[in-house]
This record gives sequence, structure tokens and C-alpha cells, in this order.
Amino acid sequence: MSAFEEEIKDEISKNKILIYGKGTKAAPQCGFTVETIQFFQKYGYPFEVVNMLPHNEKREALNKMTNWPTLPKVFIDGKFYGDTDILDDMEAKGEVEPLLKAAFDGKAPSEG
Amino acid sequence: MISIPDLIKLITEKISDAEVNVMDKTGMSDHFIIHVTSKVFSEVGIMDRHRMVMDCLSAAMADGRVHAAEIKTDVPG
Repeated sequence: MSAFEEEIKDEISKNKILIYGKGTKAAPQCGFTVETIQFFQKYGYPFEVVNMLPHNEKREALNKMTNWPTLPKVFIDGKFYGDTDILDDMEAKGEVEPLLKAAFDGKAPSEG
Repeated sequence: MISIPDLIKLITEKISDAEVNVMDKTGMSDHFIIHVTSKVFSEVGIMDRHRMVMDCLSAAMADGRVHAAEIKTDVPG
């Protein structure tokens, strides 16, 4: 396993909601990354953004790991969920809220 | 930049029965909303459906003809 894969696996395990995107949470550089940040802000659970723009080799490793060519890429509780195209569809079926709650051991967002 | 007919062809070449609706999101011909309806999706989960569509676009994404695509998939009927 490459150093990048290990780094990614570590990041995924340390963040219950993790967005690999273009830019940072404070300064997103792409409309879809903004959309993904806003998607999770709605739910109120803590999440992190990893800026992949300066890291082409790491980005390549992530593309291979997920067989998904684009950014942003979302991981919830260590599992890959694609991007807001997928999450919007899941949200429409009411699948996101229970998934996030389970990821945070049944806690409501405010309980942190 | 890619024309909508060319974009549709990229998909129908690989998903022959696909009905493809494309909207140019920004008017710059590189940000698209793409609806693909095909029978092949019936036994395929949403993530793999999207992987199939992105696979059709991989060359066009690699060389920048398509910068971003919002994908929606469906089965006929």
C-alpha cells in the first residue's frame, strides 16, 4: 500500500464526515465542493475538508482506491459515498439523516 | 468545450439504449447536467450507475472537453 493510501485511510478513519475537494472549507475553489460543504452544513454534524488541489499523486491514489474519477469525494464513517449527486438521491429517500446519526453513535448534531 | 450531440454520442456509444438529456449548466459548454435513462441500470446500484456514465466521459474529462458533470440516472418506464 502506497504512503498516500495509508495517509488517506488514516484521514478517513479520523473523520466521521470527510470531503476530499478542491480548496479548503474556508476557501473552496469549486462549485461542487461548495455544494458538498453546504450539504453537510445543513445537518449540523462536524465535518472536515481535505484540499486535493496541491496533491496530484495523492489524488491519483484516491481515484484508484474509489474507482471514481472526480472531486469532490465524500466519506461517511469510513465508507465512500461519491458526491452530492449520490447524496442528493439518498437524501430524497431519507437515507442521509439516519446514516449521519449512526455515524455519530445516535447523537443529535448539537450534542457534538 | 464539447457540443451536446458529441457528449450524447460518448454515452450512447457505450450504453446503446441510453436516452440522454443534457443541459449546459453555465453556457460555457464544459459544465453539464446529464440525465441518462437506460435498461442496463435496472440491476445496478446508484454509485455503479454513475461510474458507468463517468466511464463514458473519462476521455473527455481527461482532456478537459468536459470540466464537470452532474449526473442523474434512471430506468425507463
